[in-house]
Amino acid sequence: MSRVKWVALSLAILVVLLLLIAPGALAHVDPVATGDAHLQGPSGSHLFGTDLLGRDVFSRTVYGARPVLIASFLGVLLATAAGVAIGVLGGVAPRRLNAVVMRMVDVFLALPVLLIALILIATAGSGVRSIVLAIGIAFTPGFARVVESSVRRLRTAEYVEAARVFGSTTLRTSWRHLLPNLLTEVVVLGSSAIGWGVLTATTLSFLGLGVRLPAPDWGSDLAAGATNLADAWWLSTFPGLAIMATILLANFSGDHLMRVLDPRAGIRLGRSFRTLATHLSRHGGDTAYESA
Amino acid sequence: MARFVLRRLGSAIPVVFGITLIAFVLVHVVPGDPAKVILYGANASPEQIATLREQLGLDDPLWRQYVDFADNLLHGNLGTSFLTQNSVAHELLSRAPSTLILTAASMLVAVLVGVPLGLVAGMRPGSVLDTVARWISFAGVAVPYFFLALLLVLLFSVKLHLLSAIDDGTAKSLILPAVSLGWGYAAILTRLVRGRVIDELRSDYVKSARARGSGELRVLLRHVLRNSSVPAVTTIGLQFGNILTGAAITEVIFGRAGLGSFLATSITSKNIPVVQGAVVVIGIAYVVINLGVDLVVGAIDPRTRQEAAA
Amino acid sequence: MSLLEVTGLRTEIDTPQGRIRPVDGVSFSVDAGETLGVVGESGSGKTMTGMSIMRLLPPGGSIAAGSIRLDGHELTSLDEPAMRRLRGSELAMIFQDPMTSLNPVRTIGSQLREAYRIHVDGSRAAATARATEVLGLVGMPRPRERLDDYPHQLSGGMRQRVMIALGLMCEPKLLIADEPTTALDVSIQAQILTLIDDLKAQLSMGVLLITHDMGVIAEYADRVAVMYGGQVVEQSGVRELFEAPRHRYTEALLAAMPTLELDRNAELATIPGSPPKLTDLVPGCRFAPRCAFAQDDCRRTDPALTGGGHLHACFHPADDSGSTMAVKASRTFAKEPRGADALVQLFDVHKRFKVRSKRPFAAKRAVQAVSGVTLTIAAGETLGIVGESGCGKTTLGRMLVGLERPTNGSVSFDGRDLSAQTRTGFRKRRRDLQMMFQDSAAALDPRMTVAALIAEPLVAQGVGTRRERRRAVRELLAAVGLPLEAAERYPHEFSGGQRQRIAMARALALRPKVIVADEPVSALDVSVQAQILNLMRSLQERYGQTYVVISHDLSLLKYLADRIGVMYLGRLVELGAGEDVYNAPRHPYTAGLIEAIPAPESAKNRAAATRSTGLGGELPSAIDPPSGCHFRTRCPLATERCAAEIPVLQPSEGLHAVACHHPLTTQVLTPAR
Repeated sequence: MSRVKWVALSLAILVVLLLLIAPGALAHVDPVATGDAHLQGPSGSHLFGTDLLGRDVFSRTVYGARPVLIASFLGVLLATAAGVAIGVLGGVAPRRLNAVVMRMVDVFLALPVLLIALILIATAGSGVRSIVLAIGIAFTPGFARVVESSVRRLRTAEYVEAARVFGSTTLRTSWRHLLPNLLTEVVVLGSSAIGWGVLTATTLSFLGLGVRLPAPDWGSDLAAGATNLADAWWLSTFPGLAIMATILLANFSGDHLMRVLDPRAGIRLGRSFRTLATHLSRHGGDTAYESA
Repeated sequence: MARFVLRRLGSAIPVVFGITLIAFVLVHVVPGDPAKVILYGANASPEQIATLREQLGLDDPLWRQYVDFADNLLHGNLGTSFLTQNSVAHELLSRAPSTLILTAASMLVAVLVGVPLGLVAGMRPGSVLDTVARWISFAGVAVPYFFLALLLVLLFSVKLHLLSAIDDGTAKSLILPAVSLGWGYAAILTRLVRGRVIDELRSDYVKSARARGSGELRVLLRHVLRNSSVPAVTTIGLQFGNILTGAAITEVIFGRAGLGSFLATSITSKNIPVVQGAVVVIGIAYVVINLGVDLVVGAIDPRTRQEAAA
Repeated sequence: MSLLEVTGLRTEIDTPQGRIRPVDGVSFSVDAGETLGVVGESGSGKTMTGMSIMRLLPPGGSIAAGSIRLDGHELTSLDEPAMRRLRGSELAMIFQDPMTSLNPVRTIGSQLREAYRIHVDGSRAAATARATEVLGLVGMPRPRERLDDYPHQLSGGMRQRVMIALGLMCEPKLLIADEPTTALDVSIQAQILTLIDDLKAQLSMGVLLITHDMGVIAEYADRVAVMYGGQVVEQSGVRELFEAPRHRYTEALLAAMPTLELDRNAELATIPGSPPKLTDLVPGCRFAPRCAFAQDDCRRTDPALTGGGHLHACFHPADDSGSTMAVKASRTFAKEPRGADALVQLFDVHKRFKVRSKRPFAAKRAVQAVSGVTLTIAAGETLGIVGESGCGKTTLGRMLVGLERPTNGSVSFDGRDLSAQTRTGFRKRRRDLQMMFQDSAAALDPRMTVAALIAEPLVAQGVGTRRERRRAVRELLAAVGLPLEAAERYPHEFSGGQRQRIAMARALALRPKVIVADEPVSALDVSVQAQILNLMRSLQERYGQTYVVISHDLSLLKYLADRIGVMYLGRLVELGAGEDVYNAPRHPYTAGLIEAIPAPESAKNRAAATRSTGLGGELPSAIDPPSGCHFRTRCPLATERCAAEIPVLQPSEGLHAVACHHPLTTQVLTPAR
């Protein structure tokens, strides 16, 4: 990947982190503070304009990132963990057990993501926590399916067999060979799922199932601005653009993360990531040679 | 071929069973007493509530309740709505057509836009056409459909007065909702088909076909199209459930009557039988559609029909 | 005027790494009714030459210079539609892998009809009739029924026949065959090549036979062009080439092949280094970096083809003066006399694999991969196991190293049954039984460095301290001829031959007593093969291990192995000293196999019309094999007894062991060799 793209990507990720941790650094106006300037278009003092109650849209957009990002990150994390657990179980299980586990996964796969989410929120109440749970449960079967087939494929890889031949125990083989290779695939899968997570989270909050007003949130702000769309396009458009940008970023990163983690890529930065990844999975590593 | 069909049916049955189980479990997940919900606002006495509970069989052991539930299902009885006391099946079915039409229209948009775009992009990778197609698909994946819906309404309805955003029963009013929903899926299909076409064009059998004098068009139509369409077909099938719920939400945005608003109110008002019924119906519809998809794939690609070969 | 005349052909391809010239100034001609063999290793440009003639170049490719004349008509000046009209009608090409070269979702018939109707404006019935006719021509049994089959329903040999039929649908003038038999079993290979040869005569076609196999060239080509680094370096009649090669590369190539006449103990002549990469070509003769006779003029200027009837592009060609590149005379392997102690014993070993029928209530079916193999392997010997696909040799190898457990019978090492061991006992035993896998790229975890890979066996078995392991890795790298810097690199950065060395080092790490090598050199170029084979021999000399070499290449085993075992459909049908099995085979299958192997020797004494086709027929199904002797369906000597009674592997008449009711005492299957 070219230098320019690398720099752009890093900057974008930095912005995302800021939005998550310290939105105050980017926006200096209180997002819930009402004012006198109602429904004003974008101007010098209000970069993205103001809404019905005079609140600064730019600030709301900046602060509105948090619930969305938290919900999607945590939700995908949850789904990844559960999906990996189930997928690994299914992948190493004998045929009968595998069939049972995967059928159960299929059942959940049959239910659309949003339906599961809606039902869950109806029972557990709205809010970020519910959205996290909803995404976690809804995305798990997809993850489980992919992980299961990966595990089954990796288990029969020739280098795994080679390890058996010189007497490596199952535990050791799993740790040294299966897990690192599985990790790469899972990381790539997870990062591309974040895009979907953002979409789902914002859809749910659009429907009013996320944080309650007046707290800022992209989805709910977008919904609130829908009625005034013709006169005050900025109310919905900026949150919408923010959502789009985030999803694009997530997909982009997912695509390129793969190349970084794959030893066949060989970019310099990739090397250090690689050693990091192998160290993380090696846990007290056992190298015959110290890395130069 | 018959064996193939039977096999697929066989593996579908446990899934359907599981769906009914989940639908059933819903009742017991939702906090609150269903009987109280029904009699809400009627200031019912504890005895009245208890009687209703007994009527609804809510005090029976769980397995008993499930058996009743399953038995009902097999007879096509999806229960009774708490709110209106009408049959759930009736309530769902009366509102379903509109949503299903929107779903079908969106799937059509997705296929009619996504597949040709993917084909064209795959045939000429790196060209201007390809770049345009890829950016369209990039945008499609990133735009949330509710946002797109609003933008389309703003553009075509409010500013340009070309299309109506309100449902007036005509096909024309389907355009905006179908496009806003179908666009995202078109983007997915474009990516998929493009990748597949590129792979197929590089394959040995295409090389052989060219060696026999096949021109590009012939190669594409007779050889590549079939093989590349398989992932498109399966993907759309897998996404049916999501498209359906998307349609429900899109309906709400466009103010169309249908399952969407009905389901939303049912969920918020804790109208359990309706939600149960919806889960069962959607789940089974998904299984049926995927069965259909599998059969179509089996018809296209004879290798999947094969049993363990000698 | 020749049918095909190529002059000064130059093809360029724009790649991300720059512009490369896979074909750089190639000239040759092919007459009708003649086969020109184009032989070369990877990167020689032979495939690209064929593709250039057909103008089937990859994106970014173009013909930069030169002329291609078919029947006097210049092809390079034709536009694409005109070229398309020629493809499949006057020019036909068949490729290496028939499985991937046929559209899997269309029937054979539909593809054959298409090949016809593109060029001939006929009805569907006419196309069907022609298709049936051509299928019959290529020897397909029951051609009319085959039309409705799908490619995956046919065997490899039959699929290749279909490919040939596709090429012949419109009676081409020239047939280009690019490695047509490399993906096929040896016995099928001979059938297909003979078929092409017969068709060539019948239809007066010209045939351009592209291959890496010198034996195939010797047996089936009339004239030959040797390619190296994108250029033709030698061109002559086949006989002259093999008897007196001129270019040093050809000479070295011929010397690197294990031939019948080669002394078993002699080292193979090798060519150092590997074939050049097209992205970094040197000025001057392209072979100079690897040539023992290269001098300054070779490195400065690119030699042109000279020499009249026997063209060669070399400033210092080989002549009869006897100074050759052959290093072989100087070194022989000193082999320890083979001890009589049995190290590994296989007793009546069987292996069944269940075939998973997707139907829930179907009768259980199984494949008998190995049936009743009894074998003793002595310490220090090299045992070769040969057979075609499905014969069970790989499964046998896997059972030896414990990757599979026999369903019946026992595998014993050092007197102890492997299956009877405890978990920890078995793990310890594994130190002595190691394996070199067939696909070295797949057998090495791409995420691990070479050092980690080589040390892994030691780590897994808990042998040695860190420092000792580091030292062991250094020693092993040196022993297999890899530089120390290789230790920190990743497997994908190495060539095929180097990866095999890494695999070898890894297999040696635990100083095992037995190493099972599964197709150790089949994926390598000929010039590299010799290096690896020599390495295997020298390591055996040094460390004294026992080898079990599994291969489909009988001539390789004849060179490498002390004893050879022949397997067919899971059974061991012949077992004896390598020379005995090769020179005086007793089982009809072995005899047929030997005959099917195209060998360079035959170039020297070819009687044109009396080549017999060796083994006819196809390999029977492994799930439902023929009763009694499995080979009886293809055996010219089969009798009723063969169907009723399974022959037992045993020595008889004072000769080596064979499992046959009517063993050969002379080679009755080969009239003229």
